[in-house]
Amino acid sequence: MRIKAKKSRLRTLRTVTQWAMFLFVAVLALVKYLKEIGVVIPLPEISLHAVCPFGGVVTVYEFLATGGLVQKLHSSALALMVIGLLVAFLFGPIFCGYFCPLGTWQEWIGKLGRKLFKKKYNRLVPRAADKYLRYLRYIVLGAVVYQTAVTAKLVFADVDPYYALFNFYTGEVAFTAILILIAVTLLSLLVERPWCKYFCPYGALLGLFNLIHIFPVRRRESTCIHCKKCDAACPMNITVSTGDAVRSHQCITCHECLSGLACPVEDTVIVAAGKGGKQA
Amino acid sequence: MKLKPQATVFFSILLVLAGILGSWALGWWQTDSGKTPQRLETLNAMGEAGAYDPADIRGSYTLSEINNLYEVPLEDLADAFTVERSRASGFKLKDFETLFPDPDSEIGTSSMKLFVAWYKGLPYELKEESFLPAPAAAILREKAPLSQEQHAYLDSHTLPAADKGR
Repeated sequence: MRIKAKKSRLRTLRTVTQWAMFLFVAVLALVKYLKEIGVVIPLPEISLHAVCPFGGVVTVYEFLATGGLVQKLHSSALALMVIGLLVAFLFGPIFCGYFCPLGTWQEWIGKLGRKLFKKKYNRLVPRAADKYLRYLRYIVLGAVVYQTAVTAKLVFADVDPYYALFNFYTGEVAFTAILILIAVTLLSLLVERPWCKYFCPYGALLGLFNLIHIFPVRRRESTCIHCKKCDAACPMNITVSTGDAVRSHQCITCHECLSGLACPVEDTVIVAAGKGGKQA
Repeated sequence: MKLKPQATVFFSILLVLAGILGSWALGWWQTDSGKTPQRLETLNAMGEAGAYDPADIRGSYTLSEINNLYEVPLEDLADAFTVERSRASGFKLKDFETLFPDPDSEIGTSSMKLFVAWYKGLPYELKEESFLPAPAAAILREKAPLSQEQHAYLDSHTLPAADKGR
């Protein structure tokens, strides 16, 4: 009974934060668009680029080299980048698991995919290929940062499905970004969070903090019943059940594996600081 | 030390809000670039210091704002870039792509930077190849203090007005 109550609270919290962030970003984009076409609204006009922490990442080189920022970006993006890295250092990529609207979008589509493909859902990519494909996002991260540094332009905007998702109706989105958004949406029917797993450059950066962050997900071997429900619940296909701490660069800190959610034993898969143990 | 997962979420939200508040208090929280470009420290061709830097022209500027900031007549701006005079005032530079839809036409914000800089005789470093529509080149040749080099650049970087692109 107690576990059910906890389960409900944590899942509700995650659902609320995901919806809130999705609506917040959608409203920001809509307000900006309406103001641009001359509709008077008593709300501030803020570009999505201004509140994008990844914008801060891509403009770091420009900022260090010239003191300026890549076009379309503002100092708020740099501030959010620093804040985002600090949060990731403490709690891991919690932005991905609880707040990223594109992640939420993929999860929503994934629910339909789960109904269509049942147990095959999220198990369709061969493990041998999947293992290497997971490193693609570091290539994307390197390429985006390099190209932005060389051109001093926001090159990622032309392929960014996140920007496309909230601006597809404005006429300001590159065709390539729309195509990538469609591809990600369709892939989400087969694979859970395909953009996050294989392509997301910001997820790649935050994912590195899984190796060092202070409060990882930990598994207590002494109480674990080895049911592997934590493994089955992980959207990123991480094997939680074999290690003492989840240190995979792919973890998105969604907490789906925790006791009270997937794990049926109380106080076994938990969030805790501390060192040592075998890593999952 | 064990932490409730809910607490990690609340602490994260708290850190983000505190970080935004802190950066705002320190003056680091800017969500727009404002509408005031940076000023040049060097003299222009007329020996004037402190003019606005044409390199700081942004895609969000309207022709009217460029007219006010850089003191280039609105009619010249409209005619140069084949914008109808009746809608020139509120026309934004980022909307050039509606006038020049060919993605290879190269006519965009950088073209306006070049036009304004040469029109006013302001220093401007060409960081990328910029093309101008024929009317813009004609206005520059007629009204701007161009050097031989600049004339030669226009010879090779002017696009015919008829197809509004390449």
